[in-house]
Amino acid sequence: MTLLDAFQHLIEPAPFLLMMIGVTVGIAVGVMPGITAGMLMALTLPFTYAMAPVDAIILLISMFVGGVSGGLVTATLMRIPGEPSAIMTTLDGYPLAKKGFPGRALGLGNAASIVGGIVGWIALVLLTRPIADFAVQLGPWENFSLVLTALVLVSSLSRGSFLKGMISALLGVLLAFPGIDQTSGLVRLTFGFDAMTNGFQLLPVVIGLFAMSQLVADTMHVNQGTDHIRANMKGVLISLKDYTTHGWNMLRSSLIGLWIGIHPGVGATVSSIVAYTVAKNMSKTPEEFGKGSEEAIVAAESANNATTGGTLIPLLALGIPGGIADAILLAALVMHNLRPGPLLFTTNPEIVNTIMATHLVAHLAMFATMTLGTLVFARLMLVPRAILFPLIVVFCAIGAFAMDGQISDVWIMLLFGLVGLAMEIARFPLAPFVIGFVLAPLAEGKLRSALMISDGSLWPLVTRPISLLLLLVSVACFVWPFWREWRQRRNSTA
Amino acid sequence: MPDSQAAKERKLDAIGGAVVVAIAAIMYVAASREPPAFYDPLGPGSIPMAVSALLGLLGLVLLGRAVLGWRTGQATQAMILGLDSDESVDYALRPGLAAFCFAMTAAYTMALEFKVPFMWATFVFLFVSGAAMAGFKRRETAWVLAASIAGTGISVYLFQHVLQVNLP
Repeated sequence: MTLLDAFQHLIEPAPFLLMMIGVTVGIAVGVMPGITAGMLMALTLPFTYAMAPVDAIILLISMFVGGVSGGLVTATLMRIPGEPSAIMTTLDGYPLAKKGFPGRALGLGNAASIVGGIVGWIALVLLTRPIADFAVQLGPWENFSLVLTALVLVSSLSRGSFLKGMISALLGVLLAFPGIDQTSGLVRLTFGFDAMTNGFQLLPVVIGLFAMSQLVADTMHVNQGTDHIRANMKGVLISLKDYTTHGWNMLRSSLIGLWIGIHPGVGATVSSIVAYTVAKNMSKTPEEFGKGSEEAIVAAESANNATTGGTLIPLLALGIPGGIADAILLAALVMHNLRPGPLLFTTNPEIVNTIMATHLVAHLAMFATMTLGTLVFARLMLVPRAILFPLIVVFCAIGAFAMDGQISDVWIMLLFGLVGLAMEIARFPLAPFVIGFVLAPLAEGKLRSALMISDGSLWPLVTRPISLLLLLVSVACFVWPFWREWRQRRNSTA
Repeated sequence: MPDSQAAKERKLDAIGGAVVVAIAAIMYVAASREPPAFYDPLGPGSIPMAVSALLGLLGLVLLGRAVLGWRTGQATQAMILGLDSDESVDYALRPGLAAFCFAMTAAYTMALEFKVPFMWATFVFLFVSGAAMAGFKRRETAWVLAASIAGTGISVYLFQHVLQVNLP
């Protein structure tokens, strides 16, 4: 299946309906405060098991695109980010809406989202194949070094503390080990519990970390008021002149979002913060930022949507998830017996092309749905939490249970709900944990098969140039934060 | 940063470091007891041991920094919204209610474990959790009751008939 075939497939009734369902549910979930796109994807994942892989991918990618975009509505009308990535939109979207221009604020955000999405898609199509062609030549040593570099990079790019990011990644790696060892077939680290023979499955872990812990946090905020600005359609569709006025800002912010998205573990929230800051620094009216600046809304929304394309590039080309949503997509591919990475272009081109085609068409569908359905989506913000939250818990429990039919997976989900809460309270970043958890079996498998080839010698890790280069990058990323801190300390004492 | 906030941060770091060291130690000991495998120079325990050792070392660094009073920093990018202790809100937070709802979820799982029919367990869970969130006010509780009946029916239909899940 070529990319053109994938587009043709998408406009057939059944896949098109699936995509529209994904986009609409994604936007709806993005609109509802406290429910995120990652959470929706994690919850949907077990139910895609019975679907054809292509259909599952269409649904999940559409939800991803819809979810990232839907946060705009709540950010603008309620000053609550429906999605973490909409946090910067609240700063200016809400003030602009409060000035009497809610339609204009939503229209600008929506237009910026589609531009960001298209820029992300162009990069996805242009960059993924060449990177994959290069990566396909790598052997197990280089692949191991690549995964190691990704893990160190995820931790070093975690904003705040490299040490905590590294601990989080290693915890994720360590907790992926219990269960059946793929290389030797022996059961390990089960501590005598039969339920642990299959180890911690990805689904209950992801649902627990992101959905359960978020629901507990949301329940604490159940008294939060639902004051909101009434949406109207005036200005929802912006003019061509607006596109030219904000064109450079849209393009620049999209490129920032794209670049940040390509780096594993950073994500749309950071990209919107960086794009917002750059837009403010380059603006002729920086004093307007925070008071309803159109430039600010455009920057934040272009960047977070472009990130969706950027994060898919390492997933497709290297099999390394760029963010949480990609980790869930990776899980979906693995669940359907597909191995994400450069070989996917040869073994399952229909999957790669479906992901690319859906990414673009879902953005177009998102733009149309958001433009036409703003008033309907705005009403979803007001669904009582006492009705919504318990129902989502039931979905979480059945989602964790459905895959293997084991109640023990629901307990694991609850356990990881607590783990997620504890880590967030102690301010350990969660993204490195999930990415470590997902990549650990891959890294271990590569290293052990490489060691079998080399008869137990680790020398090829440093004698093969690409492997050595990647290891040097890892060491540099590992040492840099400590060296920087040491230098700061020395300077402050001098 | 105010002193109280810094002290709280250091305390959390110390607890976090200690927990990490404990997990690493347990996993290291368990991994070291794994038997060797045929045709595999490393065996199933070697990599978990190496990862545990590195994790333990980093945990000790975190703990040591907290004890020495050094600031480690913290993730500024929250994945879970609403847990930020710096955030000031103009309404009462309900940690007790959150704990109650989590306990209800554990009770719901226990009920399913003990073969309580899915429909009944789900209805009771939806109603009790929802009513607690609604503050057991009469009007809201009536809405929650209606929504629980509808939610149970929809869940059973969706999972059993549409998604073909073998419900517990």
